[in-house]
Amino acid sequence: MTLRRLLLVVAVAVVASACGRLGTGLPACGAPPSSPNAANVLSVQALPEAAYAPCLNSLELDWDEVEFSARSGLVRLEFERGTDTFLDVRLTATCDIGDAKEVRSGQEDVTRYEDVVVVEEEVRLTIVPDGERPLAHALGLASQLNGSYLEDRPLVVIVDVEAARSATERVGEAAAVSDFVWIIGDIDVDEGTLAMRPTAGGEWIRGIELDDALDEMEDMVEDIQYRGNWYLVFDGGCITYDFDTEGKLAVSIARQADAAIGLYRNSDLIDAARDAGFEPVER
Amino acid sequence: MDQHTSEESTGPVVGRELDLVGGRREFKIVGITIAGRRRRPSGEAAPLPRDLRGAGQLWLMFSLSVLLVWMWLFVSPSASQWWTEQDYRLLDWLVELRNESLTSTAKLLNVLSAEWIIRILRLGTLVALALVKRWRHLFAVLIAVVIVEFTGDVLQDMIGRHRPLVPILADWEGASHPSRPVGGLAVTLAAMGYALIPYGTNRRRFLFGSGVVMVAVALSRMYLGLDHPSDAWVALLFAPAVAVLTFRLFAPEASFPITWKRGVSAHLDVSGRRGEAIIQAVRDQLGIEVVEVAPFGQEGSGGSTPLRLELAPDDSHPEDYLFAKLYSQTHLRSDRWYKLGRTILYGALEDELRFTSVRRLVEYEDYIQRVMRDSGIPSAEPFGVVEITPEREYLMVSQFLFGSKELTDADVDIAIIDDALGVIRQLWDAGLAHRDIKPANVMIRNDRVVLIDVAFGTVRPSPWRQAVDLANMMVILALRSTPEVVYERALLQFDPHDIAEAFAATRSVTLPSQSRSSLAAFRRSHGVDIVAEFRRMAPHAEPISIQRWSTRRIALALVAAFALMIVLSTLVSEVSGGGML
Repeated sequence: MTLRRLLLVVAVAVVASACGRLGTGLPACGAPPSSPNAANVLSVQALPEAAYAPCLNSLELDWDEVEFSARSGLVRLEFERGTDTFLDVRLTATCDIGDAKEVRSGQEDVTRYEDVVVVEEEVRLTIVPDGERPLAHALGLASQLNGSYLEDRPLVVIVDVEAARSATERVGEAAAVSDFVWIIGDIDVDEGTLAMRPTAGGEWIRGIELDDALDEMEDMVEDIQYRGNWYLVFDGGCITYDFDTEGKLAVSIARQADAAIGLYRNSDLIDAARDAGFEPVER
Repeated sequence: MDQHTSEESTGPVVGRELDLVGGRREFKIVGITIAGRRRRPSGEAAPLPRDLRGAGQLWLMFSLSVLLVWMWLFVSPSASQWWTEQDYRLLDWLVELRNESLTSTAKLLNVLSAEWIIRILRLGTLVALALVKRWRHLFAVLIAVVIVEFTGDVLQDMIGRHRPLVPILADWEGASHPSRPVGGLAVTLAAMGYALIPYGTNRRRFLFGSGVVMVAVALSRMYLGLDHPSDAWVALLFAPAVAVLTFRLFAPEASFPITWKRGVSAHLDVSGRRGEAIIQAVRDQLGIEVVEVAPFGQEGSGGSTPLRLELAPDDSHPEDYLFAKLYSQTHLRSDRWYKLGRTILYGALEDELRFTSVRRLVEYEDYIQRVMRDSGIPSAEPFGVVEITPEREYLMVSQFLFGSKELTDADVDIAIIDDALGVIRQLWDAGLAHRDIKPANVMIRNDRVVLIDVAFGTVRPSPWRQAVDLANMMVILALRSTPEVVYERALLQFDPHDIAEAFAATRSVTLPSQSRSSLAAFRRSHGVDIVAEFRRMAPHAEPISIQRWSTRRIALALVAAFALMIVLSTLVSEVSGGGML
């Protein structure tokens, strides 16, 4: 056998024998402390003084890849779809929570903060009719438009029927709960037009036809988004979730992240190592 | 077996032939006496055995043993347990030793394996090699580094070993096996030793010193709890082994010795062991006593190492020298890259096929030399092939053309022009093409034209090839006379349409680079475009295209573009600080 052939055989054998061991590189929440995988141990070693390290309960079907890395002082899980990282989870000794608001964590020894920008899935439109005829017309439009979509977002149409109050008052209330407000008067009924204003700011557009109004709204509607941070603060460390999602993933990401990412109690693993005769950290 | 017995058993006719076998046969070729050939017995080493001995074999064994250990770890779970137990015996002992001063020393040593130190060493080495244009060594360094870093990266992910379960006293990154800082520093130091320091005491000292440093760094990392002993040892064995083997294979010392001067020659070094091997091989295989081997005319040759062999003083031969061309794997690879480049740039030149081994290359050149001689083409008398290293290095020995001059250095009169054009006519009539007609290959000796360097020659070439030979000869003759005279003399031996076809086939790519530069110089000094002049005088002919878009060319172009993209992205990655170097 020539040298070249021998090297080739050995290289192929190494790769072939290695193939059976692929895919062991993510910290698993279900790993028993007595037989954790390497990623669990590396997570603890990166920040042994932290009470918890991030781990995975499961992987969602529409997440393409999770990349784990660990080094002294940092554990990182990067979640990717296509070439985009939509969630970056980092365990560090401390973190700056900024203006984040505290929310319920579900664990006594963990404080949770959130600072996220959410663009909801639904597009809300309130129609304020000015009179009897406009009210009938608005109700007809509502039944026609409810259930339709703008940029893949369901359109929810509400008709303000409280005709006793002033129009200004009704419009102000509508703006607080809707993305768009329409006012329909008698002339609009006759001419098939309406007056429209986006609640995020902008001028009234008067005398606009229905189809044009819907086109304008479609142009103004933002993608569904879920951006910002969660912070899980505990003894010796902090886990930061950095979200950057839009589209359909943004609708479910908060729920998915809660379900998929858990906390691994570091002391369990350290105790198990000590039971096995190792001393991974200074007492 | 005595003479009588031999004749009885083989018959009288065969017996007479066999009388010569094993005896001292003597004969002469162009005045050179050939005598005393000796067959190399089975088992005897070749004149220059392949240069992978000593350190090379040792490191090869190291790398193989590391590969086997890895395989063992993957296949057998109990193996990793056994290794872990051995690791912790040493680690526990080192942890017991911990004290403040030892910890400070270990941390200091560990700085040597820091990424920024390794990067400075690597980039410094590459810059130094680029400055002296030692590209082969530069690529060898890159190859060694990329192999070690890539293997380390892949294996770290595959094996996924955690850091030692002892208190860790310094910063770390990623999984622990193999130890990438140790491997990274080891391959860098080994590559620096082989790429920057000339062979000899200094290199040995540097490599020994590097070895000591590496062991100290490895021990310090174990002491600090960063690496298991097996992580560090494996990296310590594997990384230098990759460097040593890379340099042995891509830039062997015998072929590419380190000397600190700019513009390193691509030719093989024929001093030392190779020079002795050549003398011994020529004596044994050709029966010719050579006393000195010296480089000769290397500036005009890139495809082989041309040599002048000085013969031992002997009254029987009037000439004291032989010409020889040394071919090696390096030349074979250069030939392949050259042809590959031409295929991508210029399309499929119809007969640009690569040789598969050095033996095939020299066999072909020997054959074509003999065909040329048998066809009466004036060329150097071949003496045959000499084996230096089986399958890897061969020497082509031929007559040394005393008193010859390059055509561009000689006085070119009508007789020379007729003679040169007559040689092309002879080639055409014999169904041959030289394919490399340029000033350096057309010699004038005793007022006659002699062709040399027939290695590119071919039998039964395409008409296009033959036409190109004619055009190239007319061009270099015109450089020493005028296009009008050459055209007029050519008409005596060629049809006007032959000449028209020759210049219809002429392109920049069909002209050897030496002829191209001479033509450009002539145009600058005389204001005459020789090729255009010939085209003006010859009958009109449509240009003959040699661009051929084949599947192979397209595939090669795509692969080359992809490779270029990888190189560029690697460079960008390096500049931005995230790459392997």
